[in-house]
Amino acid sequence: MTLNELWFRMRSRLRKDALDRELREETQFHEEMLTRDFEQHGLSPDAAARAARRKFGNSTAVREQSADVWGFPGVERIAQDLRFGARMLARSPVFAAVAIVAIGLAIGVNAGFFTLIDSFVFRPMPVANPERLVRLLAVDGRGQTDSRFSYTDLQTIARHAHTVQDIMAYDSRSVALRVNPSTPGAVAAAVGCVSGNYFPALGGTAVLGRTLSPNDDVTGSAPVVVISEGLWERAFSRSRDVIGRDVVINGARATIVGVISAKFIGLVPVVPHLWMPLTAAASMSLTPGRLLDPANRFFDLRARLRPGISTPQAAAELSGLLAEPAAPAGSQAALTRVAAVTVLGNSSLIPPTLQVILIAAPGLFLVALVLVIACANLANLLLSRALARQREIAVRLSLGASRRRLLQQLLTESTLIAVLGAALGLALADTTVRLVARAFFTAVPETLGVVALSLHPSWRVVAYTVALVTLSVVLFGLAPALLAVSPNVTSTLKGEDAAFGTKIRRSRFRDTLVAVQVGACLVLLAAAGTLVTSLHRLASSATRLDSRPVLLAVLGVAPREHVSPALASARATFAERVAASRDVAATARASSPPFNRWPLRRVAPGADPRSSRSVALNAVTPRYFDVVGQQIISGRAFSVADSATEARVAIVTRAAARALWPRQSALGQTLHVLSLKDGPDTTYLVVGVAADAHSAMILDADDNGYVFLPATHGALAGEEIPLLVRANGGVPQTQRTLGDVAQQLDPNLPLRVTPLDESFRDELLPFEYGAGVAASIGVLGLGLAVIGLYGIVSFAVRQRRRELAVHVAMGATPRDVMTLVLRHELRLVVIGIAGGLVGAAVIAKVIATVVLAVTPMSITSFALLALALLVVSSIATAIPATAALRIAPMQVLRQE
Amino acid sequence: MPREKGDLVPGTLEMLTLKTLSFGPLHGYGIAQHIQRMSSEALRVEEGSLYPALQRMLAKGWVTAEWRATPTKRRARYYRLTAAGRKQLGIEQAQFADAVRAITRVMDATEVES
Repeated sequence: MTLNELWFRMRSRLRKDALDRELREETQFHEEMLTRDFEQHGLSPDAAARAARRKFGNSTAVREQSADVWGFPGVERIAQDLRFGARMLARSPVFAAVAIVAIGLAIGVNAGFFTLIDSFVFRPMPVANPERLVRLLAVDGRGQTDSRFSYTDLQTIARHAHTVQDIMAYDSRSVALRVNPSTPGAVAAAVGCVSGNYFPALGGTAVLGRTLSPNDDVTGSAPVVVISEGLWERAFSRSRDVIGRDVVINGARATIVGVISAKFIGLVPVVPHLWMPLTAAASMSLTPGRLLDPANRFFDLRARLRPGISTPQAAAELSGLLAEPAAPAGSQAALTRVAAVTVLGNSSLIPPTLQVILIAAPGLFLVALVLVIACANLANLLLSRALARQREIAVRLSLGASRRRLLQQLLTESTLIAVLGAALGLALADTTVRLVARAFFTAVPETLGVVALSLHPSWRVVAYTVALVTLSVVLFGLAPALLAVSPNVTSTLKGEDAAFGTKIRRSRFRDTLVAVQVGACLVLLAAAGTLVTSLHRLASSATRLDSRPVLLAVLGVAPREHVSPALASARATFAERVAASRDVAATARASSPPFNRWPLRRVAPGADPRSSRSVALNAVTPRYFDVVGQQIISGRAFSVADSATEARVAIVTRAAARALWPRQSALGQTLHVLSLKDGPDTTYLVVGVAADAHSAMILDADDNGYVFLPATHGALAGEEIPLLVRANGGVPQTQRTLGDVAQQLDPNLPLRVTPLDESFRDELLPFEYGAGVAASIGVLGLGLAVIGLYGIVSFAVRQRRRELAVHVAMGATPRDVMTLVLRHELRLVVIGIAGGLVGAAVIAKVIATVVLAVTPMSITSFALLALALLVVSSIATAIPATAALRIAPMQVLRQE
Repeated sequence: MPREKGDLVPGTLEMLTLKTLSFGPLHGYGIAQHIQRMSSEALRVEEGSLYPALQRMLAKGWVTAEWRATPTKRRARYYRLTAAGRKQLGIEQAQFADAVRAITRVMDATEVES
């Protein structure tokens, strides 16, 4: 279109009416001249006028075609269709509401699920230039990968690597923090220990003062910290003289040099309250062991690929830099040495690997099914409406409207429904996801930091939604629209469709929709049911311990593997006083809290390391089993003497016993605990077998149970080892008592008390939420299917009124009428259920192979589900069918 | 479907109109009359279809229009060829001649060349 033409069209648009008048005058002149010609040829005035009209052609069409260059008719037609569509929807508000809500819920569920996937898998990390970020993984001799590196590894890479830059380390610790050195009262806080380049490399900025720089991360430099905007607000009321003040971290002073912008999140979506350089953290013993010990591996390393470098190139170079020399074959060191380094692209929180996709697949499938049901539902509703509008459409076709134009109009209407639905769905998804996430994130303890995961719908979510809208318009709008514009015009105009059953051709398309809807609903219910049962089993798997009255109490906050003598003695006194309290039945300590599967060690039933298994090792005090309520099935518990003499005895759980000594009694066997380095194994005599207890890491397929050893003094010296307290009577009372004891002892030591069940439940929260979500999706699908069936049957009854009236007039009993109405629909329901059963069986198999720890539904519950669906469907069809019983034959038959 | 005798070859209506107007300004009825007379009544148009074509040509700037009195003192809209329209006529005439030549060559062929 040239500029000239555009100008012409714009001008014409404004004076369209005048142009039309001029054109009419012009064509009138033309016809008059033609009439005059014919009259001169001897025709009568009437005949001449008719002949002139014939010769001129359809003047209405001429005017319409001429108007094509006035303004922008293509665009205007769309606007016209939209107005028309909106009017049609407004005219039947119930239909519009049902349609919009149905498609909105379905699209909302899909968009919500995708928002979650997007936040973790596709959204770039909230840091500067996330595209080339990579994560390093060490590969050991067994081919297993581990993300632990030492500080010397970081230094080696920073100095020598040419393929990567910005090599960063991040490690977060819980500490006791005093924001004012001169006043007592420490609180638990999270500190991020970072390499000096962390802020410059990730684009972190300070709102006050400065960020950390590589110069701060040098051995011997003065200890400095930067604080989060949240802490600045809470503890310092945003005071600007905070720079240069000292805070006390685990008793050691460090100077605040800056406040980091709340916008900065960093590599981990849990933001700590403070950050400090690694060297300073090491000097305060916040990091385990000696920082410069090459064997002291505890860092997660990230870096950026240099331009033009691929991940395999970087992996090759880093493997060359960090791989350790081969160790003697068969030794433990041969297995655990760093054999190579792999490099993973890590521009999002979770790189989109095949495994991640497989984990998301069942969820995606479930929500996609909801969309299919909603679309089938809507297609049915639209089809019913199209049939009801058949006469109107026939009239318009006979008046010369083109089928294409009508099709466009009907599709505009479906698009309108889908777009309105999508808007509703996006809003729903946004709120739901954020509500669920907030409930979820509050379970993260404050000592780990503040969760900062962005869950706002990104452009990817919007694009995904647009794709869904397009897909659903094609799925639910196209077929009914095509059927609607191809009726037999004459028969429709004559009203033949209303005559007899045979005339109402049951559309095969509609029958398919009914069956598909019911079938998809059953598959959805079965899949949701499988997920709900599995997740529920995990969520309620419970501890298998009598753990209700057990509390975990941690006094003070100590860095890993280092407790100051003062804190150690305070803890000892605390333990003594608590044990002496009337409100406490017993106390115990363990190197790992119950259910924690750490540390995992290789143990073997004999001297041969090849028969070794990986089990969770825990060192516990004698009363541990009494306190947590874990039964000793055979043999004995530990005695005080075991701990005192450091006796080489062990208690294994039943699972461990089965794994290590199948078909033999574990009692009296010798257990080899393989040394971590190249040393001799330590052997223990198995003196007891304990009942199984679930670990929190339920999804761990390699669950070989636990091995307990008597706790020696050293085993319980370090770390955040909780005091396990079994309440005597009410748990709240015991909680208060613990607080009082701590207060009297030292008000400066923060005390954290958590019920054991709660700490376990926190681990299970994801499964509970998962089960809840899966169940809601199943219910949603069922609801949509029921609405759909209800709509179809009530429409069928309305359409067959005349036929049914004839039957009644001829003496059909109510029972006959019901049979007449329901037979067909119920047959479709049964066909749908049969198809659904097959589909569900296939899906159950697929889910079970893809996702670990799935409990397939039993055949009985499966059958019950199908039966329940049959019952619900029957009710959904029977209720509208009763309308047929109220038909008054004479009234209906006279209606013509 | 056989073409009805006398139907215009599609797309030629604009060319014929431009050619007609190249002899001087004329109203729609006059254009239709001229085309029929010149073609010895062989080319018949549903005369109304002339008007959408004229509107298209107005939009493209090939013709201009003005209301004037006819010799019989009736008001009519006269169309006049513009410079752009004259240029377009040249282009269409050349294209049409090319097409006719090509079609003639095919129709006159006596054997299939290999």
